[in-house]
Amino acid sequence: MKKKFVLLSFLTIGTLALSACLFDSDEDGLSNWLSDQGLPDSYKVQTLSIEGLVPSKVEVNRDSTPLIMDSRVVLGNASNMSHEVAFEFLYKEKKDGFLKRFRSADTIGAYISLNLLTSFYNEKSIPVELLPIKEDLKLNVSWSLRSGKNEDFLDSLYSITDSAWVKMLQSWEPDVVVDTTYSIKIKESDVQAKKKKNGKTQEADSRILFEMPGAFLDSFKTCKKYCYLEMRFSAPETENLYRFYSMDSKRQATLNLRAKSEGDSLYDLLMYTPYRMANVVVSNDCSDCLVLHGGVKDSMVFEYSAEPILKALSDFYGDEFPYKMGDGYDVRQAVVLAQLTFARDDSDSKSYLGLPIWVVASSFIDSSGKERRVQEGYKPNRQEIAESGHPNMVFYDGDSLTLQVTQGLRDFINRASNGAKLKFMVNLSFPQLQDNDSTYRTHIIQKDTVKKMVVYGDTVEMKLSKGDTSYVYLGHYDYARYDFSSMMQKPATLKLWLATKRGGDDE
Amino acid sequence: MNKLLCFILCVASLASASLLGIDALGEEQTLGGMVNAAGRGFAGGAKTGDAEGVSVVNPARVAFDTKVVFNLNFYIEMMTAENDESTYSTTTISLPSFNFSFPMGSYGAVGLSLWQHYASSMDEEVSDSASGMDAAVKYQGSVYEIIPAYAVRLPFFRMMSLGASAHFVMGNVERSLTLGPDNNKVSKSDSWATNSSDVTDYASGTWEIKNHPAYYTLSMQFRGRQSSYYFSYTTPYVLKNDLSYDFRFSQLDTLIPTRYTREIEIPALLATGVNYRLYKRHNVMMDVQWRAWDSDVENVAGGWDMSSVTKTQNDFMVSLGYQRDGSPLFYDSYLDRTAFRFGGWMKSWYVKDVYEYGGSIGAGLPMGKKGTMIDLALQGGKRTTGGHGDWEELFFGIRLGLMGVGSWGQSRGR
Repeated sequence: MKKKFVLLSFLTIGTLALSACLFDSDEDGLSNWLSDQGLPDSYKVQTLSIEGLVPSKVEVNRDSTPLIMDSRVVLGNASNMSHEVAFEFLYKEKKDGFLKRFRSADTIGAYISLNLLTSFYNEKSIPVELLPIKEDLKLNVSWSLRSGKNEDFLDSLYSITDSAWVKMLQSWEPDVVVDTTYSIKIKESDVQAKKKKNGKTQEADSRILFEMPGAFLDSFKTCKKYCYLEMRFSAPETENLYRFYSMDSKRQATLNLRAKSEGDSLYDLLMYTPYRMANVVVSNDCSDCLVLHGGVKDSMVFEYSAEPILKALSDFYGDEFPYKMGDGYDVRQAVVLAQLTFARDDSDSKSYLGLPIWVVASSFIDSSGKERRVQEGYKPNRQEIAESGHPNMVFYDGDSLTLQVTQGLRDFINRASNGAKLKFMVNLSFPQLQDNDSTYRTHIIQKDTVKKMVVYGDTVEMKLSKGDTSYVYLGHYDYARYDFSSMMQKPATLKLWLATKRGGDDE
Repeated sequence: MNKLLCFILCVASLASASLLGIDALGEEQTLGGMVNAAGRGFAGGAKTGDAEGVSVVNPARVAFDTKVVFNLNFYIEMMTAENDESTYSTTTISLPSFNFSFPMGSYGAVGLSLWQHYASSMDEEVSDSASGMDAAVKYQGSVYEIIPAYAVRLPFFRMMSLGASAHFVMGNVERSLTLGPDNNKVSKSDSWATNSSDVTDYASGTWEIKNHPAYYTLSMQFRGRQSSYYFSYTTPYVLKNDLSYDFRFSQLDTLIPTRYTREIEIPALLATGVNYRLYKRHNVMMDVQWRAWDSDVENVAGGWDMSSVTKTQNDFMVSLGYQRDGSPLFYDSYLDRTAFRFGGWMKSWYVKDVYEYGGSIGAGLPMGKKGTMIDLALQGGKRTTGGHGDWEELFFGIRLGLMGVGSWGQSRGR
């Protein structure tokens, strides 16, 4: 056995020596071999610009579906859109018999408490003044109340799913509608935390209390053991848009009831939080106007006919487009990046926060035979960003809007023989905070800087201190309105960066 | 057993070494890459004995075996491809075949083999010193065959046997080419768009035989006192490779692949061989194989500057070998019990203008009393080319085989 191991050891050593001496590679050995086989070691980048593209179809989707709002809610008007707040309360009489006392009390009252969204109103990155606000807010309060005596009633309420409730909100008819007016006065100090003498910080009391009208109290008295209260606030006349915390916050909205009878020294109080809250959006813009609103699920779908793009590709490559061989799926070339540039004119549009707004493109592509929408990635052109800002923003300097539609183009050319078209959707996303910062990621500011921004013709300054965090986006929507009409009247330019498998391109 | 199969498939997936014909079928593993055959220069298809085992070209031979044989073959090859300017070397490990044969006395013998008939393998990253670009090239292709065989000695002419085997073909092929951008021909202001954007040209597919479940080998073997002969015929068949071609940008971002089926007409194979016993345990042998290719082999290709076909030529192999059998007596010295082999071969590949010249030495090292043996073969040679950028290949390989021999079902009286 020993002999065998000695023999095998000699063999191994001999093999290693042989491989070291005889079987060595040159630095470019494999590269040259690949080249001789016709295999490349890189792809040659080619660019192609296709001008004069006009969409064959533009479809505006104005989504009026109520949005369940767990963390924040808005009330008021902006951009021809009215934002109403819907509350859903489930009430169960407790053993202490509050409802009984409420019915028989000498003095009763109720109010809805909503906390202003302090994270928004204290946001340093917003260059416009958000506060103070002072107005007599005309509020339309409407409600319907159902009650039951047994648990089955309550169970039936718990079984209402979110989707069923949203559907219900769309066709909801209130039992009672009351117009009220509230005096609103909000100062900057109302939303700012205060430092106490002992050095501790006291959170701002940013509550706004909406006292319920007498009719509501009468309605509530009819409540039996279990109650289902559906309530809505709308403020159709205000020019402001108030932002409040919703339910998933320690500053959540509450319904507060109080009752006091003769002889009581204190009010008997009961506080209820909503079971669900939603924003119901009513648009006053025409349904087919080429207008997008921020903060809601508005979207616009563009479709471009295939012919001009395929013709340009055919002229460029000298091949037939669409590809018709075999099953027709074209893999002769790859679109490495594609961007579509529109002429931009912001004059008919309006934003509120004074920040540029990101326009997001999502392409419709094939996924296992079904159409699927995917949000396009964004590759930043850092040099251009430093010079003139991100190209995919509106409400910003410049006169163009450039959207990257790489996945859309890949899919379109790939499936062109099956009748595919270039189809993508755009919507307004969050306001952009790093408008001309090519970092394009959240980072810590290294030195004190003053950032200048032009907001409606005025230059405003934003102080950024060392140690501050520079975020890419603002965490709050601008309920802006952007009119794409003029943009659609002018032709767009498509630019493609291509890699081709066609041979013979070496010169 | 499952672990063993997993191991076999993992090693087999590393496949074979030569780069010639890599986009066509790849390298053919002659005679299943069996180590005992490789040690004598791939000759000895006609050599009979107690435990020679299955031959993929001559199924009739196993009828003369008296012992159950199981063997497993490994191959390590160091190869260097070179032309006037460059040299590229690679080392690969493969498992060309494993075989099992079970003699049943007068009822004949059955055998089962798994043969990696053709294989192509490459997994390299390239950095071009001129352009500074990086690329990754991966080839992984295997045409596997599962081969059940049956052989029987003729009832009234026991020196003659007939054998037949069916070759059920399966396997897959994959070619992946990941490339970085070359922005030399675009303006500097446009280069941002493709920086760090790799694209992968990806092709993959599966192998099967067109219109038939298998192709077949029929053979006839004669065993005389000193000479043995065989003649075999393997039917022609058409290999079908269903391919899909794709561009990949990330795991989730791919194009819909376009599908294409390439068909490769594999011609009939004629093989013959003779083994002559010179003196006691000393044998000399010679084998010849021949295939007449009528048509070219379509490549995976599908783009770039790659050739769409690999031109073929008549595929011919002649091999000469010698073997001194080991003594079956356990009390003989270890060297006496060891089988020694050497041989050489000349082979024209199916790829036009490719010729292979090789030589080998080998040994069968007995392990213990039960007939288990480790077969070892060292081989080296050269593959010359005439139309492939004058790239030639030098190769050195080590083959290692584990042969288990048993006497199941054999009674002492017989």
